[in-house]
Amino acid sequence: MMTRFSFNWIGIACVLAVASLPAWPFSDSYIVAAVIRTLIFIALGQAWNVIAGIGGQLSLGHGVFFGLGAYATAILFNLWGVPPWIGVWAGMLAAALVAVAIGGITFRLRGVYFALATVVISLAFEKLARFFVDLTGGDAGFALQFLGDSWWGLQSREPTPFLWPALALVVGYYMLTRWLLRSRFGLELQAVRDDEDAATAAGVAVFRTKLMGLLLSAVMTALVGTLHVQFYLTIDPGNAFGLFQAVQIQLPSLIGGLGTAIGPVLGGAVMIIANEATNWASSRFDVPGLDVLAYGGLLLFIVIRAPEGLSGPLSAMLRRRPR
Amino acid sequence: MSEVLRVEGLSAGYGDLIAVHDVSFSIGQGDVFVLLGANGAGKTTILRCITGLMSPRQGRIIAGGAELIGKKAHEVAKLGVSHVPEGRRVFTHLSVEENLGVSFIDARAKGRTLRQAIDEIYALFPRLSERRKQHAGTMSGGEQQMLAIGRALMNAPDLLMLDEPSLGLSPLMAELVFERLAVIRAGGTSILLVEQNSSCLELADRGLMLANGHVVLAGDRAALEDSDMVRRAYLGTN
Repeated sequence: MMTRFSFNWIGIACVLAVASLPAWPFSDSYIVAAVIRTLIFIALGQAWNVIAGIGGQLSLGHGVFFGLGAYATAILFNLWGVPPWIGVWAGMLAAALVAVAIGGITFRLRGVYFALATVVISLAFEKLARFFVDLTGGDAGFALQFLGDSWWGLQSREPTPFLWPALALVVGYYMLTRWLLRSRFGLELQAVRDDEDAATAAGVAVFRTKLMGLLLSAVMTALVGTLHVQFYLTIDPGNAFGLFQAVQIQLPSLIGGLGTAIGPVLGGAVMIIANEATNWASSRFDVPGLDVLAYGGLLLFIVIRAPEGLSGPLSAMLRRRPR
Repeated sequence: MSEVLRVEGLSAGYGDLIAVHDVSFSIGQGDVFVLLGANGAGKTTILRCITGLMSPRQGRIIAGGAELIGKKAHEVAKLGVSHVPEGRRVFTHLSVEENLGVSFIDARAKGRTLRQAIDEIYALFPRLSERRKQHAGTMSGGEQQMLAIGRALMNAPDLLMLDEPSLGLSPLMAELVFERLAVIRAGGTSILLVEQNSSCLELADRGLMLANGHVVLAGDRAALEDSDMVRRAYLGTN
C-alpha cells in the first residue's frame, strides 16, 4: 500500500516538475532541449518494451519503425506539404505494414528467426534510404523544410513547445504499459513470453498475440519517429535504420527493467543524466574519452549489480523505507 | 456410457519415422485412461495429435462430437479438452492468480465468473490460495505442478490430459498429485494420463500400452496389472 502510494506521488511530482521546467529560474533552452531528448529516448524504450519486455520477442532492429515514422512524415511534408498531423498516420501505417510482414513470416517459427529478420530488415532499409537519394537525401540525410513557428507544421525555433507533447507521450505510454500489464491481452503476451506451449494449452492464440504485440509496438515507435524529426528537423539513414539506433532503443528497458512500466522511464532518465554528467566531467577536467569510458563503466556496473534492471532494487528500497 | 474422446486408427510420425501406428481407443465420461510405455513409445505424440500441436497422417480424433484434427491448438482448449504439458509449465513471471486468469475462457465458463472459477481451483489446491500473489516461478516444483493442473481446470474441461505429472516430484508430492486427480475424476472430469510412475495404475480404469508406436496391450486395470509386460516395465517385479 505504502509503496504504491509513495510511488504514485513521486511520479506525479516528477511529471509536474518536467511540465513546469521552462518557468524554473535556472532553466534555459539547453536544459529544456536535453529533457526533450530524454523524453524521446524514453518513449522509444517504452515502445520497444511492449514487444520485447512484455511479449518476450527480441527485436534487434526496431529502428525500422522509428525510421519509417520519421521519413514518412518528413518526405510527405517536404514534397507535398502534408502536415505532420497527417504524416504521422502514414508513418504509423508504414510501420504497421512492415510489422505484419516481419511478424507474419517469422512468428510461426520459434527461436532466433524473428530477431534475425528484424536485423536484416533494418539493414535493408538503411541501404534503401542511402540508395533512393532523390526521395531520402541519401547519406547526407533529409532536412525538414523549416517554415517558421507554426502549430500547423508542428515546428518551432525554440525547443520549449516540444516539451509538452514529448511529456504527454511518455506519460501516455507509461499508462498504456500499466494497463497492458493487467489487461487480458497483456497477460496473454506475458504468458507467450514465459512459455509458448503452456500458453497454447491455456487457449492463447500465440501467433496472433505476438503479431498484435509487434503491431502495437511498431506503431508506438513510428509515432516517436515523427516527434523526433519535428524536433531535430533532420533524419539520416544511420540515425533512422542503423543498428546503433536499434541498440539505443533497447537500452532504457534493459537498464531500467525489462517488461515493467517504470523500467524504460527510469533507465532512459538515468542514462541521459549519466551521459551528460560524464560529458561535462570530461570537458571540465579536459580528459577526452573519459566520458565514454565512465559512461560505459556505469552501464556495466548497473547491468552487473542489477541484472533485472533498476526498477527491482528501487522498489525494494522504497518498501524498506520506514514510515 | 457417453464418450468424451474417441481416437480411431491414429497414425503419426516425424519425417520418415512413424511414431504412432494405427492406435484406437476411447475414453468414457468420468474415466481415467492411462497410456503406458517406455520413452519414445509414442505416448507424447498421441497427446500432441489430440491437442493440435501436430497433424496426424491418418485417423480421426473426436471429442464432444467434434473432429479435433485440423483444429488449431488454442481452439482445442475451447472444446473442453485441457492439456497439462510435461514439465510443470507455468508462466513464471505472472502471479498464481494471473496464471489461472489467462486460461479462463468466457465461452467455457458455464455461468461461472472468473472469481468463482479461481475459487474452485483454490478449494482443490488450498496451497495455491496461500500463494495467490506470488510469482509462479518462485514456487516449489510441486506447487508449480498444482498450478499447471489448476490452470488446465479453469474451463471445467470434459477431458483433462496430463503428460507425466509426477516427473521430478518428490514421492510425497507425487502422491498428493494423484490423490487430487482422484478428486477431479470424482467430480466427473475424465482424465487421460501419460505416466511412468506405477502409482497411476491405482487410479486407472482402463488403459493401453505402447511399444514402438504399436498398441501391445489394451484393457481395464486388472488386465494391465496382470500383464507381465506392465509388471516388468512398471512394477519392477517378474
